[in-house]
Amino acid sequence: MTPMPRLTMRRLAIGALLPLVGAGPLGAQDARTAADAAHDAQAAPAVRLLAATCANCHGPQGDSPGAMPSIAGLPREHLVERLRMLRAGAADATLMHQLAKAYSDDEIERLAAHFARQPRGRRTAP
Amino acid sequence: MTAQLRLTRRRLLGFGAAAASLAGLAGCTPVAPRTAQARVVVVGGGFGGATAAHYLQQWSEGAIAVTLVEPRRRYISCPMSNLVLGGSKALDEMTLGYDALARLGIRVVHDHAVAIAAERRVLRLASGAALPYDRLVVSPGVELLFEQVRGMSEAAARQIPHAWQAGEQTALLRQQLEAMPDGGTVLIGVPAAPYRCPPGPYERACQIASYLKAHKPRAKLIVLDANAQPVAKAALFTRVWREDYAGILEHRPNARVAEVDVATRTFTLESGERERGDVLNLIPPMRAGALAHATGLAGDGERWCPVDWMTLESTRLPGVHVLGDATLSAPGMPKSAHMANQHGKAAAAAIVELLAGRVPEPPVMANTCYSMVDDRQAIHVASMHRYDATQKTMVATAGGLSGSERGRWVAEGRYAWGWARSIWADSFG
Repeated sequence: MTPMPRLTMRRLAIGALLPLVGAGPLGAQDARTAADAAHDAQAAPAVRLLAATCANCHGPQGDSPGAMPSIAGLPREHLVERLRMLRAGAADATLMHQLAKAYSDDEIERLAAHFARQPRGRRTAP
Repeated sequence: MTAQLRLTRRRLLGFGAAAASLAGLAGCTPVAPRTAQARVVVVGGGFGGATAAHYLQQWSEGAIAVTLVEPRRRYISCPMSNLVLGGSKALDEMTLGYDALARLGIRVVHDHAVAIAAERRVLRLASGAALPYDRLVVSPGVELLFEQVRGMSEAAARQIPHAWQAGEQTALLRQQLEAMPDGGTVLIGVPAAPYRCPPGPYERACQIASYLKAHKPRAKLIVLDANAQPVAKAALFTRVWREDYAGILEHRPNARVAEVDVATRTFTLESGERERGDVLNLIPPMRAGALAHATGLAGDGERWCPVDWMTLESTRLPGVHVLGDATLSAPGMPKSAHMANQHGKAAAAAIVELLAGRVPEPPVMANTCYSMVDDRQAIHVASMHRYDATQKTMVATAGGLSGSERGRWVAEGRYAWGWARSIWADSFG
């Protein structure tokens, strides 16, 4: 599956909730969904600082406003493969292959899972 | 709105109790009824402080009331400001503000911090206001030590600019370069390391040389460097100077500027040698910002503030965390905006955990410094740093520099501006 359909589905879900939130009282069900979505986007302490080291270049939550590639919302498997190739020196890069050497297998898995969950396109036009 | 309120309330229950018990341990006697939120005050709205406030607000999910104290309403980014000297960018393209942080719910107070009562956990401001805190974050930047160069002073810097705090000083140096006739001489004085932004003086040399090459081809630039070789990216800068700026730029190592004569625009070196120029740029030696010395965060005879790298808490004043250029850097750790941003996140993560009564994770930090060598090309140095429990400090675990293929440096130039846009958003919201 390409990243596009997943991304769209996530946007739709968030978009569908927003008017309700603004419109008035919510049912308990809806409130829990919105709260959980907000909480899910937050990472566990163990991974969030590690993930935050990426944001200086790739933008807040991996969503880049400029020429740096965004990593938010990319499929987890793609991120794992890309980071492993960078670490092995097998992917073309100007800089990231040098930093990728610092990540363990476990950290690559956790970072990929984290960024796959982040919404994309809040800062840049789709 | 409703959802957010519920979320906040849910988190508050656990958090308020932990904060209250910690306050009890610290011997704090609250005069006003305690609020349910823990209070963190951040002093200094540069890259370190703004990032700390941003991430404290985000990660505490409403459980911490975050206040940012910063006298200025606008912040001009030092990273990229050398491009103003080269002429390819303007200051308004790197001018940032605090509105986005305020919109996230951070209370922004435009005032000067003057004193810390660490035992009572209160910060005093110039207006007379007192801000109580459970944890204080201080990111005071650097103070320029003009008096270490004879003849230099803050007043003299209105004629011999340092341009090491971006803004008016950057604009002044640019005006002087533009007004200088072709055939003139520009001098840059570089202080001995450690100082803010290790590659900064050499990027500046490239930017000024690039401007001279295009507009004043008979002019010269002499870099009088107190260090034995360029402090960062030495081989890369040396190559650029040889390949792009031969006949324009001369780099002189071990050439510390000891005295300035403003009237005759002359630098006297430690060796006694004199160099006269038309435009003089003196980057003075520096130390942690004035507040660090006034409050004892830097002790007697200390230039920088020692911290426990596990949490960035001061080893001089308990309950106070110090960030950025003002810290006594760990081995291999540069005083850079990128690193200050990482300090802000590491401190925010530690403070959220400490106030919740949990043990913080050992920090990890990255650093990336791009230097623009003309209006299009950039070179980088990058590194990863992790806390080492045995050595009780941060150690570099990976890193590297730009490759030798110059074609790639154009791509790096695009990434450099992309980096700036990302870190501005990441720090200032």
